[in-house]
Amino acid sequence: MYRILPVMLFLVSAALLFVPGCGKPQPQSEEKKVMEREAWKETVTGRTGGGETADKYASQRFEMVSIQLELRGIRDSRVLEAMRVVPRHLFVPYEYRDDSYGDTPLPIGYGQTISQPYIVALMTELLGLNRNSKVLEVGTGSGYQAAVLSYVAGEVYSIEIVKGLYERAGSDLKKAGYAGVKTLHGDGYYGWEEHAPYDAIIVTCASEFIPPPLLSQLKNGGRMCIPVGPPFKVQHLLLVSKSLKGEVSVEMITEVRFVPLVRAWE
Amino acid sequence: MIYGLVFFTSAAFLGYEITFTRVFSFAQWHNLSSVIITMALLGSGVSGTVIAVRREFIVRNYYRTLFALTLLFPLFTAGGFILSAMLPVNPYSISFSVIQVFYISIYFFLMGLPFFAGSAIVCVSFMKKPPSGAYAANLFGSGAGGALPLVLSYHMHPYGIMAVVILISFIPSFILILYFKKKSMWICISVLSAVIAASVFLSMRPDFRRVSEYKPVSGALNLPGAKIVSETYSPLSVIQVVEAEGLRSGSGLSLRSPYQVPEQRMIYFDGDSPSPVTPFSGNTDKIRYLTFLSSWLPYYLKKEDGPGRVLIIGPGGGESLLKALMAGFEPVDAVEMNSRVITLMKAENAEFSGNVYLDKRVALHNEDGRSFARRSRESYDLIDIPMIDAFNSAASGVYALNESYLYTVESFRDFYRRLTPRGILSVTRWITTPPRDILKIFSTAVTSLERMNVPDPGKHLLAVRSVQTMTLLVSASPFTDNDITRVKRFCDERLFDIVYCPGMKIDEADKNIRQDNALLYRSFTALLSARSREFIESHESDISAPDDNRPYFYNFFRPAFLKYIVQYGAAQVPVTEWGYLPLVIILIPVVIISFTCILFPLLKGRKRVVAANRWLLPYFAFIAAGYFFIEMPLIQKMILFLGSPVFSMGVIISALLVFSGIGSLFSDSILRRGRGMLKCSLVICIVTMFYTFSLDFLFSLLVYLPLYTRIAVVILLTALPAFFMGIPFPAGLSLLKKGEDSSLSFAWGVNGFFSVISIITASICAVVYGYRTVLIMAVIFYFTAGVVFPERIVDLNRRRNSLKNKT
Repeated sequence: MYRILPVMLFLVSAALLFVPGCGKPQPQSEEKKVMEREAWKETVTGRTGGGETADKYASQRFEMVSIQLELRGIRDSRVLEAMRVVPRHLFVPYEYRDDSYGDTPLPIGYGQTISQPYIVALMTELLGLNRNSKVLEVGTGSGYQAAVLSYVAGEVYSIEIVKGLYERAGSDLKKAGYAGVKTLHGDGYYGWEEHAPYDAIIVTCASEFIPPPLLSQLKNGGRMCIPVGPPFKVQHLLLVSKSLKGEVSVEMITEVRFVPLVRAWE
Repeated sequence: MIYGLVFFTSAAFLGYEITFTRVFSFAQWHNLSSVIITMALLGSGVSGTVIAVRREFIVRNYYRTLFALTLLFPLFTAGGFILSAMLPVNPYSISFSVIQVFYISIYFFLMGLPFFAGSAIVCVSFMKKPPSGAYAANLFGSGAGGALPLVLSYHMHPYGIMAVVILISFIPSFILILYFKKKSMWICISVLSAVIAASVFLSMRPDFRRVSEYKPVSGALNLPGAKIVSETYSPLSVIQVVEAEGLRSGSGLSLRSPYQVPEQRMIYFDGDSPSPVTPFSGNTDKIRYLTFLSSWLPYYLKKEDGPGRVLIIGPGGGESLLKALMAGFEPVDAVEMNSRVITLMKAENAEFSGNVYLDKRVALHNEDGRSFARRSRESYDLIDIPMIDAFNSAASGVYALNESYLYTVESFRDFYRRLTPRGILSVTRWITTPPRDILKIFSTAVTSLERMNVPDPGKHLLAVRSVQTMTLLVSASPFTDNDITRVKRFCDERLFDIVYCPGMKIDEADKNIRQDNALLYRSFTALLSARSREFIESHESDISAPDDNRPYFYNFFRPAFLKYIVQYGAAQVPVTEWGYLPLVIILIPVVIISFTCILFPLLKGRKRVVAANRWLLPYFAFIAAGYFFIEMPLIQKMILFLGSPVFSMGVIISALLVFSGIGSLFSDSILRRGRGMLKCSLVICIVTMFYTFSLDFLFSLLVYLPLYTRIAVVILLTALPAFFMGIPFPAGLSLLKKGEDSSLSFAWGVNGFFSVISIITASICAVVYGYRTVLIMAVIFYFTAGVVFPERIVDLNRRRNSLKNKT
């Protein structure tokens, strides 16, 4: 028997290679996605609550604002205030929570990232918002950018196509006290016609082009901002402005992450 | 029995090495093949040392050790593969997640274990058999192991091929057991076979085949309703076609486009480089968005001139074919390197794509674009090289060391010569920040025109940018004022900008896409000026024009750039700028590890051996380095001739190994002749020198031959040096066998150590100095090895043998 067993196993393993359909790939099953999401929720809600740890991170947040933002030239007081107030750690996966206020993007699952604080602040500042502004965000992601926007602007609408992210961001926004942000699960390509036009549009999902329908949903005098670059490496920002007459102009705010580098290069 | 053992072990060894490269590029990045080869060589080097140190024990328990190793080998291949696949490795996040350094180290360690065990089996086998025979079995096995994954890769997923390799790695222990027939051995094997069966089962499971979540295909599969419509395999990559809600690609699309981009299917190559398949029902109104891409420019210009014959390089999902047909071009020659893409587009995606690949006006050629241009005798009104790689890959620098013969000075010349008198060559590329590759493309076009003695090259060039892409046009005749007026209209309608056109003034730059300093315009005019050399040399990135001798389009690294990494920290500098620097960084620990693990233990306590054989260290070092300094450039050179990196790698590696194996069988008889080794090394030197200076010319004559004849030519060309390259190693070993026994393993270790280092150094030298220099260095290595080889000892042995025979 002991002689036959290994030979049998060898043959069975070899036969496995030819089982039809055995190697067919499948997208991640919905059930697994739900399980992952639940596990994530538990880690966020179970171990820490917003209030309990708020103080723990407050000093880090203030330090982040003064070192990463003010020194780099973010001037808008509303934006700086928002960055001091919004608890970034509540939008970051549990295992990275202690790194929340570092000068770096962090993974949030689904191949997406939460941007580096400086980029969030810079984009918000570039949009030139006030309390009455109506903003559309394409790509809710972690929900952090939407939370910052809602602190600065009047109305914030945010679309996310990845269902897992949409559900998680929605619940995190609620938990962190930003229930005013309206979220939608859908294709950001077409914008959110129902609430158009917008004073500002921010496209935070990885996009290799700017969907033209968004431009028609931007008010005259409005601004649209898009970060460009591979994951973890935003390289420049595009600022699209519509004049009061409706003329469109594009500006490249380059070398976002590498400001000192390129200054030296120039 | 031992020969069989060596054959199958070597086959599994090389099969594992090649398959792991494929697995890694499927799951993570596709540019770490040099690390995997390094691990393989490091593993074998360390095994030589361990055996040398534990020599007496091994001699005493020879078969027991051998059996234990044959058990460890499949255990490591199976276990190492499964465990490493389960590690949460993510090279993308290495800049902020320090734990990734740990994961990646563990990953490569696990991956290196089978190389250690496999090479130990071969090394131990060498102790009982004459080196020439065992070496031949080793090389034949490696040859077979190298060819197998290539043959299977047309039909199997890399993970499936890995399962086959794991099963092959199991064969040596079966061979031993059939020979000894011991009950205890059967029990060991039974336990092991359970592990193997489990690993084969796992590797065939789809959910085990995880792809990095940062690869574009993972992003697409997260979208609602995502499904893989079809999947096929090729030696180049796993090709998946994905369909999902919201999946679109519009690279270089104008903000002003009144036309919508429909939901598309996307073809992914190893989960990356998406190529869109646009749905087409015959109604061109639905695909009008194509006219608002920057890459529409050449079609826009030629459309009014009256479209003619067009050549499209790399049509992929067929977007350029649609453009050409919509603009009325006829006939359309499309050159697609990947035969599987053609099959996919003609079968599963035919209906979806409006049968664009089956259109009567389209003639498809399954070949590399550059080789096609060299072989073709047609003239074209338009040659279109659309964007081939993805923005993510381009910007994150994963291509850094991939050679590309498509973007070289000679390539532009080849395409230019295929143009009609009013013809246009169009190249579209992503614009990265800070701009580098578009400068390199422009510099390549300028250099190419200058070398062809085209008067006033600036009048033949024109470049237009969208927000993220640039389309460069090279015209056979100077652009006219009418052309320029039309280009201006094209740009204004689409919010694009002219980056450069003949007669352009600085205040016309960056009109629609505002930026500081008209940086691109100033750079382009500098490249056209008399001081262009100065500009290129003073530039922070390497923007010099790549040529066929140094075809590294994606390498932008200059040592001067190090100061920024020192000043601002690694995380602040885009990876693209790093170029070959990672290789230099890898080289340092590799030298340290291989010295401490391979050479140091051997040097310690064996000073006597070294002192007695002064020739040993330089000899084995030089032949190890020489082998890789010939192998690497040969593989790279033949890519252009055979039109495919896969054919080149498969043919060269297998031919080199097999003919070296044959050579090794003759090593004893060659040694018996006077000054045999020196003559042998001289032959290698002469042939290599001849190849260094005549291969390009030879290929330009033979490139018109059909593929199989070209493969035969390559085999012939490889066979000659390979035969002689197979001789020095066993010759040196057999010399030692007759003298100091413990120095045998030392020689093995020296060879291993220098193999590890030379594979990396050869790559660095190729990037910095070009292939010719690498080949010339190989000549120097082999010549020195021939000189230091102690013919005196051979003569002594010969005399001794003849005396023995007489008595």
